[in-house]
This record gives sequence, structure tokens and C-alpha cells, in this order.
Amino acid sequence: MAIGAPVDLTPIRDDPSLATAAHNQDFRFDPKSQERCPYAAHLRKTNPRADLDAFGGTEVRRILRRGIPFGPEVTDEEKKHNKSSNDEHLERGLLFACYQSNLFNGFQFIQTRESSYAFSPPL
Amino acid sequence: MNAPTFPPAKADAPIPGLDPLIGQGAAAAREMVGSDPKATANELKFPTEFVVSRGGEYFFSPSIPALKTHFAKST
Repeated sequence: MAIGAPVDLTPIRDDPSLATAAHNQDFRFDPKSQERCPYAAHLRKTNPRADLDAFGGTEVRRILRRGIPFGPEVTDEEKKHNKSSNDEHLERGLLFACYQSNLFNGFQFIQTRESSYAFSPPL
Repeated sequence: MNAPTFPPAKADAPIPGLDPLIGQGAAAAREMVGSDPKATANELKFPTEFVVSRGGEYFFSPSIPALKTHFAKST
């Protein structure tokens, strides 16, 4: 799965050598600091990693993301006007789909108790 | 919002805020702190939704008919 160099390992500039499968998951966050990655960043909210070590960890929250993006590439007309079209045939989006063994611990928890909860991750 | 599931935050701990991409609050607007490492208390406000949700559904996988007729049928 292509991701890129983790911001938590190289916050100031891109480092393509860390974008490989061997390294792009090699970060845990420092629960005491948001200097390298904000606590509220999307990827930290949805998978807090070490932020939850003192609270039972994240294993029970794992989900398998298998979303399907839809819609055509940007058309020349849209590029010219710098604005996406309202034409329903040019609608774009993501059919988000995920798998988990327990909905309450997985998607529902991540969406309601992490992403939509101002006090998450716990500090 | 209901009772927090986590212990209460320490007195001087920042309140992270909502996920700017998918966070859902009482209104469309979301706020977060921490986007500026030199001024981590500065709030960043997002007045409109980034993701416009059109609906959702939960499914069994395998389906209930498949569970009944194949995976969990009594022999």
C-alpha cells in the first residue's frame, strides 16, 4: 500500500527513503508531544498508536480499509474555470468501505469517539 | 456529547479538537489546535465540511443468507 514518508519521522521535509514498505509504518507518535504531528491530524486521530499505550492500545480498533474512489479525472473545462462542475456525470467521491470484527470497536468508535471527539487522543 | 470514555485530561493538557477531514460536530464547523509547532495553542478553524456524507450502511460479511444456508447451517 503506497503511503509516503511519515510526517512523524521527517516533519520538516520529505524523505523518499522512508517512503518504502520497510519504513512507512515505522512510527508510533510521542504521546507527550504534537510538535511532529498535531494530535488532531486525521491520521493521528484515526490511529493514535502510542497515544493509547497507557489506555489499552489500539489492537481492538483495527479496521481494514477498502474504499473505492469514483468519478472522472478533472476535465479541461473545469481546469479552465478552476472550478469543479455541477454536472452530475462529473460527480467525484469515495465509497468508503471498511471491515472489522466488531463495529462498535471499529468504524463506529473511530468516527464518533476519536475523529468527532475533541478530547481524543487522551492527554 | 456523552460522558468521556477516557480519564479526564490533565489540567494543562491541550484539547486536540476535531479531525479536520472527517470530524463531525454539532455544526459543520470544526476546530483543532497543534497545526503550528511554534504556537501549538493556536486554533485552526474549518467552517465548512470537507467530507459531505451522503449515507451509509452496515453489512454482514458473509451475508445473513450465506451464513444461514452455508456457513452456519445445521447438518
